[in-house]
Amino acid sequence: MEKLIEQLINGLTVGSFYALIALGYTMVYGVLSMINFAHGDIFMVGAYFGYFTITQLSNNGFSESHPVLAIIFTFLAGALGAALTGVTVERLAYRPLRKASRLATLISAIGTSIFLQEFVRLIPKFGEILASLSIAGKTIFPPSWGNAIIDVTKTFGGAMVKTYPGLLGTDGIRLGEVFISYSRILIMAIAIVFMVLLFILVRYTKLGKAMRAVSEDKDTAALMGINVNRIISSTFFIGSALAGIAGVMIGIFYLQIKPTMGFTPGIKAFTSAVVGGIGNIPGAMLGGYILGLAEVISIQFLPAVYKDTVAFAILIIMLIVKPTGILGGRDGKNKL
Amino acid sequence: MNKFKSTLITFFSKPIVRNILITIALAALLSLPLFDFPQKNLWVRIIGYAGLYIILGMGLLVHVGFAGMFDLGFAAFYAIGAYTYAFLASPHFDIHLPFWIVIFIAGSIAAVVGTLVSIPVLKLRGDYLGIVTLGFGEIVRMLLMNLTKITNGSQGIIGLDKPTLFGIVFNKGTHFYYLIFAVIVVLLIVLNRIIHSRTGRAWLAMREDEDVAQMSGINTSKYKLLAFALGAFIGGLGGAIFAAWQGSIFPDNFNMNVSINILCLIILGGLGNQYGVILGAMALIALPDILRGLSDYRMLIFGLLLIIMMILRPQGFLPRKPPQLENCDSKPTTKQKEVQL
Amino acid sequence: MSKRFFIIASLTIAMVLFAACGGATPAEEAAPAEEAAAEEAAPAEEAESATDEWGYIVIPAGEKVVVGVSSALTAGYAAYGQDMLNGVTVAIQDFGDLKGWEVAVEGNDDQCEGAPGVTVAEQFSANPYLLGVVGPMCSGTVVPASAIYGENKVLMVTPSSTAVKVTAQGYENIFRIVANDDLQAEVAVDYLMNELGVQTLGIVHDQSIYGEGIALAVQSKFEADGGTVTGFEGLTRGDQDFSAVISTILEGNPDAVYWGGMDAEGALLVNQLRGAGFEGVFFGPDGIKSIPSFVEASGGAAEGAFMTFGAVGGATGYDEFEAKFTEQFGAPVAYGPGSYDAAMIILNAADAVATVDEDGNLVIPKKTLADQVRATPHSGITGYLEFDENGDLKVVSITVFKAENGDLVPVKVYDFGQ
Repeated sequence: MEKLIEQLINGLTVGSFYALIALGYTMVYGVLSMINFAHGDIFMVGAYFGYFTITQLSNNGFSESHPVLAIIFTFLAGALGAALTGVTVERLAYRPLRKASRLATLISAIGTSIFLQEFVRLIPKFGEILASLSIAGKTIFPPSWGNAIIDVTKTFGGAMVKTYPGLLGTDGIRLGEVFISYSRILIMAIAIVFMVLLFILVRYTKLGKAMRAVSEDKDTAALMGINVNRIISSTFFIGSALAGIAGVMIGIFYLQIKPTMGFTPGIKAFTSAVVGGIGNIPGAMLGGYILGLAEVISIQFLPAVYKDTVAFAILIIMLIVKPTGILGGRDGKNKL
Repeated sequence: MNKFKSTLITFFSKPIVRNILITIALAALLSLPLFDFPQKNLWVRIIGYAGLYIILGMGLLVHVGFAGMFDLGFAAFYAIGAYTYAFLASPHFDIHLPFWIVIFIAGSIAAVVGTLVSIPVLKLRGDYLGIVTLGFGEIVRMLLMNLTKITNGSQGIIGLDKPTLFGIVFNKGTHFYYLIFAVIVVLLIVLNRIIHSRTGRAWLAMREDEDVAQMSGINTSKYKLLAFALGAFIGGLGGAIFAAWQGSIFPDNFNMNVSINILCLIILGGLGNQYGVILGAMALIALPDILRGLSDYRMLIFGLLLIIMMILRPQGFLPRKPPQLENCDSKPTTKQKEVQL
Repeated sequence: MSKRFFIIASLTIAMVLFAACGGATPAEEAAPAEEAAAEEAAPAEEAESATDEWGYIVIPAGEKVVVGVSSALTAGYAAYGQDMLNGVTVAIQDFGDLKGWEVAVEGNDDQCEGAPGVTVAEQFSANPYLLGVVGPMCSGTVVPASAIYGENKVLMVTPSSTAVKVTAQGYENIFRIVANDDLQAEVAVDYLMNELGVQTLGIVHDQSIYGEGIALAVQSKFEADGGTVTGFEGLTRGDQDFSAVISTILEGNPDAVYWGGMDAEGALLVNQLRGAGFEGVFFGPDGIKSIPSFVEASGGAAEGAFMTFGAVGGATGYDEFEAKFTEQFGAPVAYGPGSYDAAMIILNAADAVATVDEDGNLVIPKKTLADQVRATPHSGITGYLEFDENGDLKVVSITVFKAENGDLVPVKVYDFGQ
C-alpha cells in the first residue's frame, strides 16, 4: 500500500512535467490548429538558459548567499529564453506558412526541431569559430574577449551532458511509511501554480479573451480589431515560457540536461494534450496527470518495459471511446 | 525574364518533352550500376536506399495522400514486414522460405494487421487518427523489443537469408538496387491503375470531404479499410526488402523517426501523386547523405533546409491537382485547393 | 500522358534491363569480375612485388593517406563519437607521416544506427586512399556495416563495440580491441560475488543492443555462479524519471544493482536509486566510465559505484596521451584512448607493409595489411593488444574502476588469455 502511494506520487511528479509541456502544445493547437513539433526542443532550450544562469550565479557565490533568489532567477532565465526562442521560431519558421497547409507547417516544425537540437549541440564550436574569426590576420575580438566567448559558449551547449548544481536536498517528510521529498512537493506546487495562473489568464484577462477569439475564428477576430499576429506571438511566448519552466524544473530535479532531452517528454506531452482533448487547457493538465499515473500503475502489474506500451494503449482506448479527448469539443473543433 | 520563364514552363510541361526527360532519367538510373566509377557502390547505396523510402512513401501516400488519413505510425508496417521476413527466412526459427514468397506473406500480414488496427479507429479523424497511429507504431516497436522469446528483443535477428533469382544470390547493393527499382515500377503502374478506378475516385471524394462522400453513397468505412490494407501491404513489402538487404534487423531500426521521415518525404513531394513521392524521397533521404561532406554540421543544415524548402514551396514539389473530369478540357478556375486533412 | 508514357518507359526499361541482365547473368557476373580484374591489374603495373589477393591501396605522391572514423557525430551519441574522432586525431599527430605521405583523419557520421552506418561503410570503401576504419562505435551499426567492410576488404578496428557477434562472422579484416560482453560480465560477476560478497542482484538495462546485451550476459553468469537475480527491468532511454522502475527493483531488496547501459541514464539512475534510499553497490559496464557524464552528472550519487573497462589506466604512454588530448579537446570521454590505439594499430601495420613503387606511389597490399595487424602485437596506451584468429584480443585486460572523490580509481585488474 505504501509502495502504491509512493508510486502514485512519482506518477504525479512526472505528470506535472507532462502537463506543463502539454499546455504549450495545446495552446498553439488551439490558436493555430498546428502541431508544434519543436515544442519539446524549446523546453530543452529553456533548460540550457537556466543552466547557464545557475552556473554563472554559483560561480560568483550568489547562489550560496541567496539560494531562493538564485532559483527564481534561474526560472526567469529559463522561461524568458524559451519564450523568446518560441516567438522567434514562430516568426521565422511558422508565420510564412500561416496560409499553407497544416502539413507544411508540421514539416517546418520538424525541421526546426532538428535545427534547435543540433544548434545547441554545436554552440561551443560556433564559439570557437567566432573567437578565431579574423580579418587580415588579426582576430576581430581581442584574445580576452575570444576566451570569454569560448567560455560562455562552452557552458551554454555542447554534446556532453550538462549537470545542474544540486540545489535541492534529498530531505522530505514522512507520513507514516510514505516518504515524500520536499523537491517533489515543490515541483508539483510550481506546476499547479503556473497552471492556475494560465487558466486565469486565458479565462479572465483581456489577452485571454483575445486568444480565445483568435482560436474561435481568426478572420472574425481580426475584423473585431484584434491584432492576430500579436496574439499568436503572445500564445507562443506563454506556451514556450511554460516549457522553459518545465525545462529548468527538470534540471533542478533530475540534474541532467542534454540537447536531445526534449524528444521523449515532447512526445509524451503531446500525447497528454490529445488525451485531454487538444486545444483545451484544463484537458492538457488532466491528460498530463493521467499519463503520468498510467505509467506508474502499469508497473504494478507488468514488467517496467511495458510502461510506454500501456501508456499508448490507454491513449488508443481512450480515443476510441471518446474520439476528441476527455475534455475535447463535441465536433472535434478545438477552442482554448 | 518572365517571358523566358513562362516559355520554359510551357516547354517542360509539354507531355512529349516531359516523357523524354523522364525516360532519360530512368535510363540513367537504370544504367548507373553498369558504369564503373570510384564511388559507384556508394551512389548505388544512396539511391537504392532512397528507393526503399520511395516504396514506403507510396504506401503512406495511400493512407495520407489518397484516402486522407493522417498516419504517424507507418514504421509499424515496415517493422512487421521486416520481422516477418526475419522469422521466415533466417536461422532464427530455422525456416528458410524463398524471398519471393516471403515478401508477399510479409505484405499480407502487414495488411491484415493494418486492417484490424484500423477497424476501431475508423471514426477518428485528422490529428486524432495521427496520434492513434503514432501510439500503434510505438506499441509495435516496444513489443518487438520486449517479446524477447519470439523476436530476440533488442539484440535483433541477424544472418537473414539473401534472396536468389535464377541462381544469382542477391549479395550486392546493385542487386537490391534493381530489385527496388523493379518494385517501384510495378507500384507506379498498380497505383496508377487504382487511382483511376472506382476505388481511386471514392478515395478522392473521401479526402476532399468525408461527409459529402458518405452522403453520395460511398461506403467510407469500406474504402478506408481498403486504403489502410493497401498502404500497409506496401509498407510490409518495403520492410521485407529492407530486412533482406541489411541482413540483420533490430527494433531500433523502426523507431518513430522512420515514420516521421516517411511522412516528411511525401509531404515534401506534394501529397499529389506517386511521382511526387519519388522527388520527395530523393530530396529527403538522399540529402543527408549528400550533405556528409559537412561533417557534424550536416543535420543542422538539413533541418534548416527542411524549413526553407517548406517556406519556398509549401505545397510540395508536385502538388495535388484539383479534381477534374477526365477527357475534359475545362481549366480549373479557382485557385488550387490546398491539401486539407 | 499516362499510356504513352508507360509505353515509352517500359520499352526503355525493357531495353536497359535486357542490356544489363538480359541474356541475363553474363553481364551481372561479368561486372564484379571485371572490377576485380581491374583492381589486380592496376597495381600489377605499379608494384613489382607478389600479388595480393585482396588488391592494393595505391596512393600517389602528394595525396593524403586517410584513416576513417565511423561514429555518431550528430544527435544523441555525438559526445562519444566526437571522442573517437579526437582520439584518432591525436594518434595521427603522434604518428606523423607514413613514409613521407601525410595522414588525414576523416570522420563520418553513422548516427549509431544501422542504415547510415552501411552508407558510411560504402563511402569509406569507395575511398581509394583509405587505409582502414576506426569504428563503428555501436554494435547495431557494426553488425550490418561489417558485411560491407568484409566484402570490400577494408581494414576495420572497432574500439567500442562489445557485442559478441561482431567478430564471430568470419571476416579476416575485422578486429576489435575491446573485451566482449561475456568477458565484461564475467569480471563484473566475479568482482560482485567474490570481492563485494553480493548474493542478490537487481539488473536494470536501457533496452538497447549494447545495454540489454550486457545485462543479459551478467544475468546468466550471476545465476550460473549461484547468485539470485531479484529483478530484471528495462527503462526507456530519454525518460528522466526512473522512480517507478526503481521501486520495482528495490522491492526485491538486492545487495547490488547492475546497470546495463550508458553514462547519461546511468547517472540519473544512480542518483534516483540513492534518493530512494538504496545503499548497496552500484555496478556498470564500460559505457558508464566517464567522469563528466557519469560521475559528475550524478550529482555526487555515483560515489562508490563500480564499473568494468577494458583498459589499464597507466599503461605505457597513457599519461602523455591524456595530456595531449586534454589540451586540445578537454578530457577524454570514453572511447578516445581506444580509438587512439585502433588508429595506431592501423598506421603501424601500414608502415610495416607499405612500399613505394617506381612511379612514386605508396602501395599497400590489403591482405598483407590485415595479416600484419593480426600477427603483430601492439603495446598501446590501453594495454597489450594481440589478436586471435577471429580478430578478438588474445589477452584481454579488464579493469574494475571505482568512483572515489569525483575520480575513477582502478581497484582490480583481470587478465584473460595466455
